Amino acid sequence: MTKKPTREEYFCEKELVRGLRQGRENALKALMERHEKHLYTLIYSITLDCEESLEILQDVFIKAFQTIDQFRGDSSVSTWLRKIALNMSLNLKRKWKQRLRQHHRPFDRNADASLVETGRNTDTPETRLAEKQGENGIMAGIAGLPENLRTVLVLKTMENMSYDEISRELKIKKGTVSSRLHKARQLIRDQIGDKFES
Amino acid sequence: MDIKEACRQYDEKTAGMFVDGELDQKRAGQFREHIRDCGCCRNLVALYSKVGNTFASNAADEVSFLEHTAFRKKVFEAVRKKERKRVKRFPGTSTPLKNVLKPAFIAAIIISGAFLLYSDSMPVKEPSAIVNSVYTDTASVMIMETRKEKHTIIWFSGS
Repeated sequence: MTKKPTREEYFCEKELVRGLRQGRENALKALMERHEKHLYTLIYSITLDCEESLEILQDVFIKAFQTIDQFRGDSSVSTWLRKIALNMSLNLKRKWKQRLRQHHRPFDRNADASLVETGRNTDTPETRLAEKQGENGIMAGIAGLPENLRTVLVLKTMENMSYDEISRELKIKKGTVSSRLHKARQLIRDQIGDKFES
Repeated sequence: MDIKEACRQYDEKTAGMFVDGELDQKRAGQFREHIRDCGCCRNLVALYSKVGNTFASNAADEVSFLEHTAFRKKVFEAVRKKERKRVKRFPGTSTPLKNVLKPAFIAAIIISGAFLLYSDSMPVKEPSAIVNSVYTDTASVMIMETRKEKHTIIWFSGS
């Protein structure tokens, strides 16, 4: 989402950027306070690994602090940070590490516990079980997606970006965005089979 | 209803575009009408929406355990470590110090070179040459002459 900053945000951001350019630590702290949660969610959605995501998040802030001179201000700081986070998350070196970890990390680890803890009172245990199985199926489907498909899905569902914005961000055609999303959903649907109940 | 059951009127891609808000107003309205009667498309829309919601809520749950203070401390330490290796900035500006020192050094070299080059044409007081000198127990006399102007200087020292 190439969001232009509002007038108020602009002045705040301008100060923030100036502080970062002067190497001020309180500016870096403000930057982290504003963006760490959102970026962590975004990075986690791509890597699906908390530890890996934290490492990347740390690198994102360090890089932002050190390359702030390259920030031209034609987009918001949040858009600029997202670009750094995306590039770092999709980094080739990390990719293999991440794949290796995912082989040992199935997505049903909380299934039994959350069945007891999070069910609604009106639900029957069978309904809750089916719902949980459906959710686990969805997450397993997402985890099994090739990275190019998952990235498009992340930008659509987590960042709520339009097809146009995703195509600009990833430098792919709008039709490719649509096809990848369709393919991703098909694969997830295949994964969950008949576990889904609307 | 089986979510894989096909609808004859709309394809799955349309259901996805509807969920993504990518259909124009007219088509979105038509599709909204359609899913009232088509269980197959309704299920697909529900599934695609659930994929987004499940993904978002799962990610939010996982990242909610971020220990902000410890994380920021780690970032600060890493930044300080890298900063020590990094070039210093010119006081009061964001310009790296080497960006100022480098041109200043080059300018100093150029100015010094130019000064040496033009120094031949500039009047320089040359040291005098000693023509003769006499030393006695009570006084010393030294006769000198400047090289270019040939001026004679007599230096006398008495005890």
